[in-house]
Order: sequence, then structure tokens, then C-alpha cells
Amino acid sequence: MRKFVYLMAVVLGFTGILVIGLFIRYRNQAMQLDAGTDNLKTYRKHYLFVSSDESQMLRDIYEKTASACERSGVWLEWCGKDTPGEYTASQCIDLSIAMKADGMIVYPDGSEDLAGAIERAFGQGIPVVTILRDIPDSDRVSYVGVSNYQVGDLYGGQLLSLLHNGSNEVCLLTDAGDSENETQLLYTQMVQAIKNGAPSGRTMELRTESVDSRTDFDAEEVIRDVLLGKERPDILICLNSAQTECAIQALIDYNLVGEVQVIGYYVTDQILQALRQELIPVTMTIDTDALGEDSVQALNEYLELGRVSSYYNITLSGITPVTAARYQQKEKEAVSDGEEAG
Amino acid sequence: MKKNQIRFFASVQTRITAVIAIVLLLVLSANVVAFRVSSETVQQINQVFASNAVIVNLADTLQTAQGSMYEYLSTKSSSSLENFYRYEQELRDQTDGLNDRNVGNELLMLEKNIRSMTQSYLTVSEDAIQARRGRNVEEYKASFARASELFGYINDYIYTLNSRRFAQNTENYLSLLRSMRAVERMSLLMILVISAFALTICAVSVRAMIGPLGKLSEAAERVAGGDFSVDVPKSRQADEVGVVTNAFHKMLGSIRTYIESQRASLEKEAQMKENELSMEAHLKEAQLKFLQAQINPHFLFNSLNAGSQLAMMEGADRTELFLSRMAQFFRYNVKKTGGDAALSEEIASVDNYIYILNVRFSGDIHYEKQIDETVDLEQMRMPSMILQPIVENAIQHGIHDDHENGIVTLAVDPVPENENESGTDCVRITVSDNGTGMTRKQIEAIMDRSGIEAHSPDEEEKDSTGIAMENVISRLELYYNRKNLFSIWSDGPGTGTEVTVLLPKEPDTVRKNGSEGRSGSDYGTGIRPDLVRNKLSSTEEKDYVSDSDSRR
Repeated sequence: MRKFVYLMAVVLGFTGILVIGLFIRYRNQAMQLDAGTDNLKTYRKHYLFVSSDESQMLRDIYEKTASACERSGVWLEWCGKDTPGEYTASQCIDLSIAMKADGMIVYPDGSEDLAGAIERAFGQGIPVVTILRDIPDSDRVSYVGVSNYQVGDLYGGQLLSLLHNGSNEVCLLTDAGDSENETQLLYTQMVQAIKNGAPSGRTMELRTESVDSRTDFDAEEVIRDVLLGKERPDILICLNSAQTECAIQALIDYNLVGEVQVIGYYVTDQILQALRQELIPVTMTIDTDALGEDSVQALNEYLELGRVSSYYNITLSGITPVTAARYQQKEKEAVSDGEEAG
Repeated sequence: MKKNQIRFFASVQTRITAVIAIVLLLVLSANVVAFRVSSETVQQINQVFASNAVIVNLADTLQTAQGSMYEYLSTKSSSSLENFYRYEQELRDQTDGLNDRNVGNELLMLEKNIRSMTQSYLTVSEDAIQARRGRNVEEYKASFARASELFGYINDYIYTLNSRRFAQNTENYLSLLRSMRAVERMSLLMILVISAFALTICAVSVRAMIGPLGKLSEAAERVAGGDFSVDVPKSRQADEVGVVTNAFHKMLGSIRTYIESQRASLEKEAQMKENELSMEAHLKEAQLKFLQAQINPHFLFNSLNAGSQLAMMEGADRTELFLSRMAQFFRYNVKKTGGDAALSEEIASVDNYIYILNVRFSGDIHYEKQIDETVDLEQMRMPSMILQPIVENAIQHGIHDDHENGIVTLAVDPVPENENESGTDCVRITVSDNGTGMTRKQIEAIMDRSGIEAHSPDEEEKDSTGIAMENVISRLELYYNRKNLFSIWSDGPGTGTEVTVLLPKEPDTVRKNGSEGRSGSDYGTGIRPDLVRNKLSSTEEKDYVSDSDSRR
């Protein structure tokens, strides 16, 4: 009897401890919902990423830049994203000034008074770094991107491999956000490259079509008009991922695969698939890791030293159906490495 | 009385009260904890959407401030200016509660942005107000435009923060509801478990307190049934039950001691009866032997008297003396058998015995007496028939083979109490001879009362001598109720033998075993005088009647 009583006391004691433990656990779980900011990681700086373009390429660039910021103890925020209002880059810069951000990484969208906004930011002590599109006559402290000389040469080289005998119609899709000077430079370099390298009997007529990527559905409409127009180009050159995806879809929709060669820009899942299916011969891509890393480094350097290199070059490379599989493998490895590191 | 008082904290009443108090406290604590946690959770649920209310208030205040500024810029009224400043202050107060650090939480960073933008907005608004007061139209219009732009941004961010807070709070609300349900179930379970635990504690404690009572009642029942072998261990409890248990334990011990003493008393009485029977048996045995050895001693004793008278008439003095001494010897034997006698009578009997033997052996027996004059031979009482058997042994076994050179010495001297083991004043009687001596084994055989086989290999002699010595020793011990009164000393064969008898002088020693006033015949037997007299009456009465009988 006495053993039974002791056994019962032990069992009940154990159960009691268990129940009290569970009780405390649930209670703490409830309390944690109201936890303050004490346990959160703090950051030494607050940078804003300014881009009205929310395409896959910019999203990737933002991700890479955010990773670089995280590594250097900086909180990166995409200005105006997820807010009900739609802001131009210029407005975002004003917004960032009002937010008293420590620095800005801006993807210029060709909006008015962008240089003025950059100047205002600079006047408030907020350095601005532009990426992919430069505004050389502004107060931006540095530009991180590709050189249009290089881009022109690279595109020219790709064109040479795609030209057939006789006259070739080539259409270059420009973006409303691209500055005229930059576009002109690109155009010139491409023409020069063809002139220098084209074999006899192969000529090229290059024209440009402007696409306003800030306006909804504009890219798809322009590309459809180009492909179904009287002067259908033999080669279509895209300068961003949205244009490339629209062009690929149009090739499929209007059964133009093989008739129109599309030189794409950037690598998305759809573009990569098109490459592997050989719907397009080549796509140009940038090193987003380097872009993110360099832009953050430029801001950090300026804030710490008060000066920084005005230009960080990012390499542009072409991916063909042959190299697509290798590229995909490398990306997968990079993603898995990132997850393990995370 | 004070010693038996139970301490307050040890009493059963206090302990039961304490156990109940602990049990109640446990259950009450469980209830209080459960109630408190439930209350806190409910409070948390009520607070879940408080952050949304703060944000909405902030938006309202901002809206009002913007309206006041617009009104002032439009009308320049002092009331609108006053309102603006009031709402400006409210805005500052409200934004002071928002996060202002760079932390890894998007909502908190939204708060930081709103706080910073609001401060910027207020600065620009202030510029607009000041410009309006200074009638700087361009500047106040530009500042108002700028303020309105910021107002729009802030509203967008407030809306975003509010939406995301609401989504998060809704999630928290659902999570809290789940937690609250879990906490409710856990509380119920905890109360049940603690109640069961408390009941167990109660049961164990009460059992520990009352349990010994059950054992005590069981033991009491067995004692009531006459079983005193029941074991009731002493209790360490200091409460009432412990006191009762210890008292019972003590009582049981007393009863056992009483029973033991009664048993010892009965055993002693039985031992006394056994002694009585043993003495009787010794006497009867001696008498039987004597009677077997002697044919009609009364006739012989009377005949010896007749022969003595005849010799006297015929003028044969030596014959008359011999017959007279023989008659004295046998008379003494018949008269004193089974009783006590004066030491002088014992010595006289030995003298007669020696005289008779010397007549028999033509004066060959050399006998010496060394009597200390300080010893009062008349007053010194002792059992009868003690010295003659010892002297007889000395002659028959000690100097039997060499009467010419052999000598038997009887010495009587006092021994003070400090010179002997008995611790009382004694008279020492020593019968020694220079005869064949005794081996250690023979001495031990006699002292162990197993006979004197070694001293007397002859079967017939062994019987009589062994019985005689055993009889002598036993009677001495019974008479004086002591041991170590008889001892034999010999250095071995050919060295002679010395037998020593110690007679304690204290008359009380004898009386301790019987009662004062008893006749000499029953001293030392431990037998009631009337019984002894009855048992021996036939023989003694005959002796006294005839007065001429002789027995050995």
C-alpha cells in the first residue's frame, strides 16, 4: 500500500511538472507575440533601393544587394514598394530624403528632375549610387553597371554571328528610361562592330523602337506591332528582361520561331527555357552578385571615407543554348550555397 | 507532567491542520496561477489591435494637422494656427512612440520611416506657416506643395503599416486564441493534477500520523487476549499517538518484568522444593547404606551396653572402657544422624572412632589433635557426621598400608574473615595424613561429586566412601547455604592428603536459609522443620526411646 502511495506521488509529481512545463511554454508562446524590439538585430545604416521597375532582373538585383547590405550591417529597403502609391525614381528620392535614409541605390527610370532629386539628396548628405543606367551630370557619387561601349561591342559580335547573306533587318528595342545619349552610344558601337566585322554580302539595317516599360502592357504591344508589321526584322534586340519575355511569347504566339532571331537580355526561367528549346540564340546577362556587392561597397566607402570611385564596371556576358545548362547548374549551386549559408 | 506535554507543532491537531492548509494552498495557488494567466491572455487579446488604433489615431491627427495648416494658409485665422500647433504637438507625441532605430523588422522600419517623414513634414509645414505669416507667397505655396506631397507619402506609409499591422495582429489574435484555449486546457489539467497530488499528500500524511494507531490497537487486542510477546516498538513521533504508543510500550515492558519476576519466584520456590527433596534423598540414601551395612544397630548398641556392664561387673576395666566407647560412638551416630551438633561432639565422636580402631589394630593408628583454645568447641555448631567420615577416609585410604608410620592429624583453628574466601569469620578443621596422597584427578573427582574411584578402586569401598564424601560436601553446602567450604589438598601420590572444612561462625548464615528457632536437626536442609521432623520421627523416636541403639 505504502509503495503504491509513493508511486502515485511520484507519478503525480512528474505529471505536475510536465503540465506546469507545458503551461509555461504556452504562456511564453503567447507572451512572445507581444515581444518588443530588444531581441531584434540592429543595423548601423539604412539604405533605400529606388526603382520603379519591378521586373525579375530588378528583383534579383535587389535580392543580391540586400544580401550584400546584410553582410555589412545595413538595412536595405525598396522604397515605395508595397505602398498604395506608385512613385517615380525622383519621388522615391524625395521620399528617402524625408525618411532621412543613410544612402540610396537608384535605378534611374528617366523620370523628370531625377538629377535634381539626386542633388537634393546629396544636399541633405545622402549619397546616391546609380546602377545600370548612369546619370553622369548629376551628383550621384558612383555608377555601378556596364559600359555601353562594351555592350555595343558585345551585341555587335552576337549580331555578326546571326547575320545571313544579303540585307538583314535589325530592330533594337530601347527603353523610355534609357537616356538618349546612352542609347546613341550603344547604337553607334553596334553599327561600328558590324561594319568592322561583317563579311561581304551581309548587310544590316538597324532601327530602334522605343518601349516605355513604365507603362503597363506597352512592351507587349510594341513588340507585337514590330513582329507583325510590314517591316518584320530578322533580328530583334531586347535591352531588358520584360522585353525579352514578351518577344519570346510573341515568337511562339505568332509562329515566328526561326524567322526572327531574338537577342535577349537577362536570364529568367522563361528566357532560360527558351534558350534550352533554342527559341532564341542568345541572351545577355549581367553579374547581379557583383552589382549588388559593388553598389553597397560604393555607398559604404563614400560614407566612411567621403570619396568613392565614380564607376564600378560590371561584366556582361552572353548565354547560348550550349552554355544554358551549365549556367543553370551554376545558379542552382549558388542558390543551395546561399541557403546553407543562411 | 511537563515532560509529557506534547509540543504544539508536534500535535496531531496541528499537523492535520497544517496538511489541510498546504493542500488548500496548493489548490488555491493552481487556481490563482490559472486565473492570472487566463486574465493576462485575455488582456493580450484585447491589446492585439491596439497598435492599429494608434496608427489610425496618427493618421487622423495628421489629417487634422494638414487641414489646420491648409485653413491657416487659406484664412490665416489664429484659431487654425492654434489648432495646427496643437495637432503638431500631438503628432510629435504620437510619433515619439514609434520606433526610431534600424532594426531587422519591416514593420518597425515602417514606423521609423513614418516617424522621420512626419518630422520632415512638420518642418516643411512650419516653413509654410512661417512663410505665410511673412506673406512670402511663393515660398508658402512651394512649402505647402512639398508638405502635401509628404502628407501623401506619409498617408501611404501609414496605410501600408496599418494594413500589415492588421494582418499581423489578426494572425496574433488567432494565435492568442489558440494559446488561450491551450492554456485553459493546461490550467484545468494542472488544477486536476495538483488536486490529486494534494490529496495524495493528505492521504500519506494522515496515514503517517494515524497509521501507528492501527498497529497499537492490534497489539492491544493481542495483549488483551493474553499474548504478551507482541512487539510494540517505541515511537519517534512526538504527537499524541507517539505518546500513547510509548506509554503502551512502557506498560507492556512493566507487565513483562512483573511476569518474569513471578516466574523467577516460582522457579526459586521450585528450586527450594528440589533442594528439600535432594536433602531428603541424601539422607535416605545414607541411611539406606547405613542400614544395609549394619544389621540391627539398635540391637548392637544395646548389646554393647550390656557387654560394658558385664565387663564392669567382672572387673575387666579395659573391656568395659572399650565397650563403653563403642556404645558412645554408635549412640552419637544414631542420635545425630540428620541433625547438627556441637564441634566438641564431633571431635569426641572422632576420638571414640580412633579409640575403637586402635583397639582393633593394637594401637597402630597414630592420631594427633591440635585444637586452638580460642575456638569455643561447645558453641560452634555444625552438621553432624562430618568429621568422622573424613577421618575414616584418611585412615582407610591414606595410611591404610602403613599404620606404623602413618599419622592422622586433626587441627582446629580460627580463620579471620579477611583470610578466607567466604568473607566471614570461620573455624577451620583440617584432617591431614602422611599416607598415600591423592592425584589431582582423584581430588577433582571427589570435588565434582563423581565419586572417589581413583582413590578407592575397590567397588564396595568406592560406593561407601564416595557416598560419604558427597554426603559430607552436600550437607555442608546445604547447612550453610554456601559453597567452597570443603577442600582437599595433596601434592600427589606418597605426599599425604589434607582435607579442610571451613565452618562459618555467623549463626545468621544458617538461619538465612530457614527460620530462627528451628531445632538443630533440620538446620541447613531448606526443609520445613515440621516436615523433617515427620520424616525422621520414626527413627529418632526409636533412638530416644531405646537410647542404646547405634547406627552409622
